Amino acid sequence: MFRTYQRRRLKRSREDRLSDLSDDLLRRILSELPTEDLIATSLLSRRWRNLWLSVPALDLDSNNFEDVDVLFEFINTFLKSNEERDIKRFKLIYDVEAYEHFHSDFVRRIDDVVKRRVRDLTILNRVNGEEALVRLPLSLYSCGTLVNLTLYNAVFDHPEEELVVSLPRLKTMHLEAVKFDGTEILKRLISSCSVLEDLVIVTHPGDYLGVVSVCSQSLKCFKLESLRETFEDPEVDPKVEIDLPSLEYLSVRDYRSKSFSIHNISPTAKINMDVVFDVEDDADDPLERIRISKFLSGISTVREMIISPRTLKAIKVFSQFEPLPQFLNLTRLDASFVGSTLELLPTFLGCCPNLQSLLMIRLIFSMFM
Amino acid sequence: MSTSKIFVLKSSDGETFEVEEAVALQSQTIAHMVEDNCVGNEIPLANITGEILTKVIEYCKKHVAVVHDGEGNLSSFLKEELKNWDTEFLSNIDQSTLFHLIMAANFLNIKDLLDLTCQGVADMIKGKSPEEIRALLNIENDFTSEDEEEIRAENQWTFK
Repeated sequence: MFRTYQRRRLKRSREDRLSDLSDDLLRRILSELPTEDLIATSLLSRRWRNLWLSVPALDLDSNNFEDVDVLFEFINTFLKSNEERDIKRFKLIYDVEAYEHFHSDFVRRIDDVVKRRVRDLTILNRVNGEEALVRLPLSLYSCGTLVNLTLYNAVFDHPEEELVVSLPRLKTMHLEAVKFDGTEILKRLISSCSVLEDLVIVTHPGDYLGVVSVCSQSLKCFKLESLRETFEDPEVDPKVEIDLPSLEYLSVRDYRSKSFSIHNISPTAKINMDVVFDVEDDADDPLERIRISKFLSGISTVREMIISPRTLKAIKVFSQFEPLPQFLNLTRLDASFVGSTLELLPTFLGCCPNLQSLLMIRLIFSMFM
Repeated sequence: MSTSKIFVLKSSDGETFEVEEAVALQSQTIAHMVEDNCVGNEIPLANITGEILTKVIEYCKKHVAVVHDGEGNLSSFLKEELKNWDTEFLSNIDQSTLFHLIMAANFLNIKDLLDLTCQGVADMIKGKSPEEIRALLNIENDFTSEDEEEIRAENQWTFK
């Protein structure tokens, strides 16, 4: 819509207003471009010829390069061409064949980027993890300038005991299919981020993640999702331990694990839970009952809650053997009590003395099916 | 609602605009002027016309209203709504206004507006060949054909 409007207007104005802007403003505009488009600007006019080299951002897709060597050579040239400048943003889609990946070359380039005081780092690794592991430089553990980190299918090596793990500026961290070479690393990483606000963790098969231990004074929003297949094995996802006194929003999707403990959560938190338990209608499984009990007491202090149908079903089965906790702070609930869980509704409402709003949109639709 | 201070912003062509403190202070430049006590309630903006200032204020008003939704934490629904409003805002302005807005947002130091408008120009450039970009933005090609050959050779792998 915007573009057609521009074409109509073009006929009236013949001024090159873009060139009226300062170099700094032009660089700012250019830093929003994928590197492909950025380089195209070198052909616009004399003024633009080398402007792209001083843009503090790289947005690369390895598929656009003949081979890995050309890719790394390009990164090298770019970094060399502006020695003093910070690289504010670096995004790399690394889609090469396993046999083309050489750890030392890769890690050296990423290390170069980290050392240029990178602020936003995104690495999407598409190399098949079963054929080659793409490991990150250790300098990433102590990048003092990093604010946003997004990683897909990369490996955090085990840091030596002496290595300082500290990401003092990191505000958002998005980890999907990320492997940690050690069970305590994720916990240590999160604890070292004193201003972390947003965390997303997505588990994948083969990520060797044993425990998701999230303890943070600053974290406001935590999203946890599982992409591990749920075949017969009911204990498929990592154990979860949550201690988040400043949490405002928690979302858990498609998650099935042996243990889900919420030790501490802000009473004003809003939660959206889709936790899968292994329950059968009316059957009593004492172990699973303990798990559900632990889970329920952890969420009993929240103010707003969305519960998925299958989590609700597990609560219903639990309620047949044990009383539900009181949800004293709960003012808003979004849960579809459909079919067999409809029986749970009165019991559940009885535990929510301060409930003000109950949303059951799906219930209405199912009545007409 | 608490009574908040009113600022009067004066454009280069003499138009005046009354805005609430919260709206005006989205501009870091104005915020610093106020902190340093160099202005009274009337703030002259000699390099921004009334037409552009109207748009700036429109943006700032919308963005203040959303931040003050009660708890200061933006639900994903509100974020989405704001994003849609921003897209609509951009689509209703012509090229000339867009560039003037960039300069105004830069001078007034309103980060979000500057990001939005710069993104708007970047979106115009994305996916286009140099010839198409030049046509769209009226950039004069002052290269000789030898220059062009040289540049294409330097970055040959990009120019497919």
